[in-house]
Amino acid sequence: MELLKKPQPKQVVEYTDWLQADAAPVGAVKVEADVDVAQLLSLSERFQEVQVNFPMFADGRGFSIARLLRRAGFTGTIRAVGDVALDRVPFMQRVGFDAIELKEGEEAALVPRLLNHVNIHYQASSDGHGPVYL
Amino acid sequence: MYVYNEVDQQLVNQRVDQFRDQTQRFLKGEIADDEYRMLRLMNGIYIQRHAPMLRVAVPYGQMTSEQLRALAQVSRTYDKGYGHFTTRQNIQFNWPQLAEIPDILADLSTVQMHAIQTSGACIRSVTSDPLAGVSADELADSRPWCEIIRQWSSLHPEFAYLPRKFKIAVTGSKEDRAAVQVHDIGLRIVHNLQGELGFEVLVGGGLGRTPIIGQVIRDFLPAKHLLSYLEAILRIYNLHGRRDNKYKARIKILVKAMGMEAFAQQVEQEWQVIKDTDLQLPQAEIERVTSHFQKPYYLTEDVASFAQVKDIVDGDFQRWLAHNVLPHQQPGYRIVMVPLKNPMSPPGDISHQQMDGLADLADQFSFSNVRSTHDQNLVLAYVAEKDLHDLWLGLSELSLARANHGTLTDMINCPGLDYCSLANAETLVLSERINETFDDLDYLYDLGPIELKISGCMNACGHHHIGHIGILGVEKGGKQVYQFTLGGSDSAAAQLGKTLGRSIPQDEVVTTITMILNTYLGLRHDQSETFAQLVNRVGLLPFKEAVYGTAQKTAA
Repeated sequence: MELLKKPQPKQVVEYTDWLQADAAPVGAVKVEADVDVAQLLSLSERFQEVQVNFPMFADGRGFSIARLLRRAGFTGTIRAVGDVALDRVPFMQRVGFDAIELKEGEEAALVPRLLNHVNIHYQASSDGHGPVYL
Repeated sequence: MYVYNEVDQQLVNQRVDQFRDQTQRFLKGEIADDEYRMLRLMNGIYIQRHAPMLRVAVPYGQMTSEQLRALAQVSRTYDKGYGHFTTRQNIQFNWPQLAEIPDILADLSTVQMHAIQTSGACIRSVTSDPLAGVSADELADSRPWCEIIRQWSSLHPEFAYLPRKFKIAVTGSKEDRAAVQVHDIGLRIVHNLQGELGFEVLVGGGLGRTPIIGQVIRDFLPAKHLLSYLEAILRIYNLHGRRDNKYKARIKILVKAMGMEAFAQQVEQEWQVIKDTDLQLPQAEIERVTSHFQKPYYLTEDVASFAQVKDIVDGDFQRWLAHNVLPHQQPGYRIVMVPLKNPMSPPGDISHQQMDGLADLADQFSFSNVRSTHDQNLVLAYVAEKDLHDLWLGLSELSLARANHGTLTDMINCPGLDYCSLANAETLVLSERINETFDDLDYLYDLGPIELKISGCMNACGHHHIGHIGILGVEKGGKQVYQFTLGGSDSAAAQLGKTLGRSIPQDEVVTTITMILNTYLGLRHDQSETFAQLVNRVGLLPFKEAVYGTAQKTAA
């Protein structure tokens, strides 16, 4: 499963620390849900991977962050980390995540089944699907 | 009525299978409680006081007779033989078994029904004017736009975990029968000076703990930009709405905190980026969806006979004709309100026999169409005048011809403490006593139009803030007491009611209502001055004096 295949980078820097230091090109940054998205987008050429932290699974800000990163042309990895929760993976894939970090005890083997449940989409998103009316 | 194509049907079928899988894994202990809670909520399932509750979507209040029969069948097979219509035009079943809910949803999918996003912190099922397409004061039919919104919002991957629930309402008439000013987004169909169709967009309205009337964010949004504008608002809300306190998480709080100007500016900035993308509605799609809402094949000969039916000598029929039958945009036709306000059952409740019987009457007299309203009633929207008496006979047999539409006992009522685990106070006992006390229809007619709305907690599912008389149940020191508000309105000029004074014990609620009504009867110029008009003219003071006595008029 593609979503589970991308290996964790060896080093991940906290986005806010990185900003305060030198914001020099780096492998992977980890952002929190309250990140200033406009600023993140403006710096997106300086990293290859963004890890979006879900502080709790009810928090949906990460979905918009991923969507906006893809819209801005970011082609690196967007990894969902933190309280990801398996059943949200289909929506995560749609908005542009291409890597997920499973919680302990979650079964990776389930992911393909979860992704296959719904393949009809009314609206366009970052996954290449156009809106149903086009 | 919108009829599903293959894609629409497949999506609903897939959602049923997905939910069945989620539920089976939960029942096997493979999904944590908290996580499953979110999953079931966005498919309409609450765990209530006694049992799970399933809320089935009736998108913008439109049903076919076939769908109503399917709901009757569900209530017989899986529940206790009745359903409950809500203030958001949906229907709830209060006693299903969780393990059987996937089967219920599978049954409903065969008649193009679902429970997608009828609860949860997502875009809820869209509501509208129950008289869309038939009312005499209509600019344009709101239903095609509701359907377009339904599709766009269904399983929207980005907006499934919003800070809080998100409600959109659409109206296409001058009179507001969809309460668009108290929704997260309200859309009013308007024409610009060039005669083009578009929307006046309101944002940030809502009831609950902090009731706020929505403000206009955009005077005119061309129709083809509807989805991009909604998406822009939702994106700003999803990123910036508060998530630290669920009572401050609705968009109204964000708009208030940012100020409308700053909020509108952010929306505008986002909208400019996306308005000319594939979110722009193609004319062909607008036409495709609109084509599902054609006028029915109205008969044009020998239908008009209102003068004749007015001559039928039958007092009960004439009362019904005067109160439950409304003018129609098509000559020779009338709109018939079917109140679900039987004194023997909670407001909004309907038995399976009534559902089946009404479905038959809809087939016979109303082009097989039935609608639900936000004041928990049903509507037969296409009745030829010549059929009115026969229909009335049929409705009477079903106990659905009570001629109290628009009167005090046509009240809105949440289920309250009897069913709801959020409630602080009982509400059904109030509606029962109110029905017992105010059972004289002539007295109710003399009082004129009065909207009584009752909620059992701050969440305000009973819309008490916008009732002419609003009642909010609260718990104080272990006792259930009730706060009264007066002067609210859900009309085109919506306003929030003002608090009358300190709360009233449960056994004094009916006498308090009587005092309020007597004050109105004593002060009105004549019968043409309605309760709402009088409250606006004289304010709350005379009512406070009547209820609390002059010495305590300022007690709160």
